[in-house]
Amino acid sequence: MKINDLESRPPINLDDRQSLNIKVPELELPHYRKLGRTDLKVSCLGLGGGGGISSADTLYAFDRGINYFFYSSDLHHYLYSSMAGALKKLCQRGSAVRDRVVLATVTYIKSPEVALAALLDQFLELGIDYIDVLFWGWIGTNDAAAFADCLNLSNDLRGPGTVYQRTIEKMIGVSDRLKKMGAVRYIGASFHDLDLAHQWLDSSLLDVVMVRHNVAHRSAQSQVFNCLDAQNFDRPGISTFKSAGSHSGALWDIPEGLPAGCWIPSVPDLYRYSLSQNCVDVCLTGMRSPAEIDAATLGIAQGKLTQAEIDYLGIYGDLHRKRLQIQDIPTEKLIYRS
Amino acid sequence: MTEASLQTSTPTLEQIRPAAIEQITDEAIANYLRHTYKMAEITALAEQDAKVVKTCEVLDITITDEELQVAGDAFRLKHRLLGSAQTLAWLEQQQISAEDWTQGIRIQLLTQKLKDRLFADSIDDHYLTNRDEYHRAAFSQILVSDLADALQIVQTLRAGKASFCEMALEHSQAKTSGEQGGFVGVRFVSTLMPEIRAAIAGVQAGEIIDPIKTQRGYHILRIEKWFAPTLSESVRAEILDLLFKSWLGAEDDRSA
Repeated sequence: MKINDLESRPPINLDDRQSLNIKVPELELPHYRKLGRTDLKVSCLGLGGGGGISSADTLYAFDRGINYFFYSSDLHHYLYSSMAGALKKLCQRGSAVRDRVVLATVTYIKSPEVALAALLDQFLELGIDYIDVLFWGWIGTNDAAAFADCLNLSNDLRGPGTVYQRTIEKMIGVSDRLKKMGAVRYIGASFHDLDLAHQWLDSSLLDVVMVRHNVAHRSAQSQVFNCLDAQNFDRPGISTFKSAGSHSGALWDIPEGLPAGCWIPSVPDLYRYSLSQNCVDVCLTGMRSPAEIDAATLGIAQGKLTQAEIDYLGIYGDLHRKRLQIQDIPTEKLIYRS
Repeated sequence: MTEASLQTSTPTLEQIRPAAIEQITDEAIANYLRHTYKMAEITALAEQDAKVVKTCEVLDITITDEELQVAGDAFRLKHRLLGSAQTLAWLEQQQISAEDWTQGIRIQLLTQKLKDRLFADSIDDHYLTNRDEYHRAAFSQILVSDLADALQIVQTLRAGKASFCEMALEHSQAKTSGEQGGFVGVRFVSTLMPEIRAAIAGVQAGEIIDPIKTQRGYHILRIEKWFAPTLSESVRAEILDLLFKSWLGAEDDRSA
């Protein structure tokens, strides 16, 4: 071995490698937005397969600028599978548009032991290289311990160079995209318990938080949305679901007692209600047809609701849940639209 | 006895000098290892190197001159041996030749290559199968020999009358925790004593745990932070070592 003089190399400062990626906050209701701290650019309207949308109509949604798709390979798979063909076309290996799509998938099996099996199902069914956001689904009141175990997998699951990426590679074969992105890019959770959602808001293990929110169920506003700082670019991404529906019925149906001529919000108005809240990035919808997609897209183009509209829709939601009597509502709070 | 003979038989400290030794022989060094009970340890390490070299010959694992050079330069950078003169002086100080040093680096590289050849592909499977073994905890402890003392310390801590650090500095009979205000470090839970593993299971960070009796005494523990298992580079290296050592042990069993 040669023993020559060596040059002294200064130690690499890891901080120097990190570029500051500060972006100006969005003030209006832009169609595309950054999903919290992730690097994902998502449409504000997301499309899930729970409404049984066809693959042709899913592709129509993509053509109309919707790029956030939510897919389940276990619970309600029979509904979701009708959009699988479109997701394959958009996201499978070799797709020319894969980098324009944000594919979110969910597993409702809350166990670290079966994470690999759930992932493999999704990879094989959709023929994909990677998942953008893997959601742990339906996190309820009794799931605190199991959910904590699941989130403890995050660092092994997400990003390139992880054990799950290598294991998926062994199972389905290597690809440049899989190697570059990892099997899963980010971790999300769909909460049915808002206390748990609140508890995990600041966790580095959770990148995207999804909660139920609509005019009749507004607790997420105080327990989740308003706990976040819109100027904090390190906050988790926020998605809502059930924006137009409630166990008390479809929210576009006229609630009992609402005076004639009062504003009946359309489904797109109900989406706008969620998207007008602090830090809500995506409103996940169950649109089922091109007509619904067009209406929603046009509705969103109107921008955020005004504070008066938001207040009115709160009253409207309370009437839906029979929490208010019409005589208790100050008349100046009502909005009349023909 | 005359005054002169007294002076001859009891020299002053100034008159006594260490005996001059020309050269310590290899035999003398081996004898030193035997007398200080280090022979078995060093022999085992030498045997391991011999096994590695022999197995690499069988598997046709070799080290190129370029690989040697890169590793040698990296070694010198790490040890701040930048100049050739400085490096040669260091070799002389170590009482080894450049060839000895090169051979040492060659064996390190062969060992790493052999580990990778045999086990790199098994690490992920091992980790996924044994993931629970790789939970880590940062913890503090106070070790005392008397149960009454232990209970008193727990009571004091829970009442908030003293800090853990303060009580550890004052009472802990274990070297590390006694000197470092209780903090022991971050450990894989699987490496802890069974009694301690059982006692800390499910405990929240920050909680003072009741005294745990082991052969060393009574341990008062506080988990400072839990770390979920993650297959980081350091854990990968650890698993690789584990699998390799287990293989070397199996080789011993076969040859016994």
